[in-house]
Amino acid sequence: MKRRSFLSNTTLASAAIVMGKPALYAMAPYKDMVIGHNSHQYKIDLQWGALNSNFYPVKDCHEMVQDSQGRILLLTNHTKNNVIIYDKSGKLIDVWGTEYPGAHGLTLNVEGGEDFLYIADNSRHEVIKTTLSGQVVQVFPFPEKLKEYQKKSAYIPTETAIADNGDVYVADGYGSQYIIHYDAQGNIQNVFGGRGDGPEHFDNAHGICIDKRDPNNPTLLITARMQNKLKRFSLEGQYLESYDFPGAYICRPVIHGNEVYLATIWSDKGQENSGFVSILDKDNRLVSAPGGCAPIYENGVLGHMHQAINVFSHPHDVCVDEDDNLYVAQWNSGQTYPIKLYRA
Amino acid sequence: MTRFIIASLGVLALVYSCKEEQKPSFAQTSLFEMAAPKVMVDSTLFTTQAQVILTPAVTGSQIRYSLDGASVDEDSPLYTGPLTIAKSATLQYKAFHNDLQPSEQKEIELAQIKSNISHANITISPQPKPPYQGQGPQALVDLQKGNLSFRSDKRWMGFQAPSINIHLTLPKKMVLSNIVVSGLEDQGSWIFAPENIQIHANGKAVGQMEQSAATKNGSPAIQYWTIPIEHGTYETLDITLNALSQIPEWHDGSGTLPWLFIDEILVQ
Repeated sequence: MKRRSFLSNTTLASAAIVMGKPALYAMAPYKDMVIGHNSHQYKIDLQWGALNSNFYPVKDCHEMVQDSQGRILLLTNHTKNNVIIYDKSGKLIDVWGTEYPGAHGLTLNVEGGEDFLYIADNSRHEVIKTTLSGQVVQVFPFPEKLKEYQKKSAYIPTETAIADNGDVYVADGYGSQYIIHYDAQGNIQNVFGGRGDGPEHFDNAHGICIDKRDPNNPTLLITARMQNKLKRFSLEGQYLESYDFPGAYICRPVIHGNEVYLATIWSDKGQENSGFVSILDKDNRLVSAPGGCAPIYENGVLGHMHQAINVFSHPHDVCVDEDDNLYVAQWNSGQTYPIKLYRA
Repeated sequence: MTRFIIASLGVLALVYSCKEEQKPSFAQTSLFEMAAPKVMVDSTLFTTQAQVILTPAVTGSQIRYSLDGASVDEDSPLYTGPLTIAKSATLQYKAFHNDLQPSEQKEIELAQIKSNISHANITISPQPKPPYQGQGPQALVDLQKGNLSFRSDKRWMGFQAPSINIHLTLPKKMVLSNIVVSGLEDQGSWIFAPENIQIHANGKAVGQMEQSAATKNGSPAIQYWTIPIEHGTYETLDITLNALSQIPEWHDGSGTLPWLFIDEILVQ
């Protein structure tokens, strides 16, 4: 679906509203598109957050988070405004950021009552911690002292996760596939993962989060995107288990309530424009795939996933608000703004 | 009276502006396109017959197809079960649904092979570039085609080099008039067709194919580039694929060397 054709369509609809609302209803039976499965189904707002691209352009819309004030923050690699701040209805509140050409990962962490952002920048080969208004407070630079890294270009961080004690985990998802564990001061504590064929290795360790659904036993969830797997590690870096999602190229795990939400950038055999959104239940089974085919388990194994309806091109992240509505940011999708899904 | 109208308009505007904030306009079913049906073929290159199975992406949709080159519409034959194909053809297929936009039309080339050269000896230089190393030179004549999913399908050899030379020693002397190189075009993934393909035998040019300027073409496709050669008897052939010197201007990757993907060589 192309946004342009949708917009011309709404122009027609608006004209009809001006001329008299009942005529519109008489003209075409109105059937809202509903996507997703089981307990998690959604209606689609394609216009959410659309701005005048002459003033507030986006390139790739990489990631989104919600801050403590309920605002929605979008990270794009357009250096005119790397961070775009919206309210939940999609109205523009503020923009900032011109120095993040490779802006990719966006994680929000509340520290001492204040929101902080961690931006993983692919092009700068480092992670930058800022305040909500964009003031830089800390940089986690290229870890040049690690024996795993000979050159800066081998380190392309994609995501961060912050533990309750302030420790920071950085996923080198486009680089050498290591997870680098820092303390809050930025001292390296541990390195694990890396390339290889073992279960503890990664191909595209793209996203990482702390899973606190079992409050007594927090662990790390890390995507291995090209392997269509979500892997669980202890906070000490020990491999624990994997979940398989055949055909689903999952970007980053986002935990909301008991569920895990994962933008799925490609599906099936990895072809272009085949993305959807994956939602896992408390047992980490795929329960709904908005835009994708129905998830079917046979003998505990998920059937091969593919796109069913072309709502999304390349979803790259999902943000979930307190109303259980979703905001989907997309990579390489014609410089379009995010799409909002309302829980139906 | 005027004041009343202005006041009413004001109230109306207020009502509508509040309404707009709270009630998004939801997208309708008719805006969205179905994903194309899934295709499964036992072998796209076959000696006697191939079987094709199509599966819809959305339940409640109908798949229609054509084998005669005509584009698929609502009057095309309805797919009701596996198709058996006994001669070279292009199968085109598309799904239709009452509420949704029809899927994109997809096609798959099915080719009957009469000259088997799976025992040919092959050398390639330069070597393909990781991670797209394919399965060794011999896989270029194994009659096994790669699919569009080059990221997961290990049959593809990907090159990022100005030219690729393939030296082919046939299993025996053969009378030939065409060489077919099968490759992938996926411009969205920076994979382009070669600018030209040249064939030499014993140091003598015997045939070549020029591509017209690389224009923007939508979806990824498997290509069969046919190079006519002087009709004659051959035992060794040198096939040179010259890549585009750079990705064209209209593309995001403009100015850089494109990827070139191949997976099979056929002779006729």
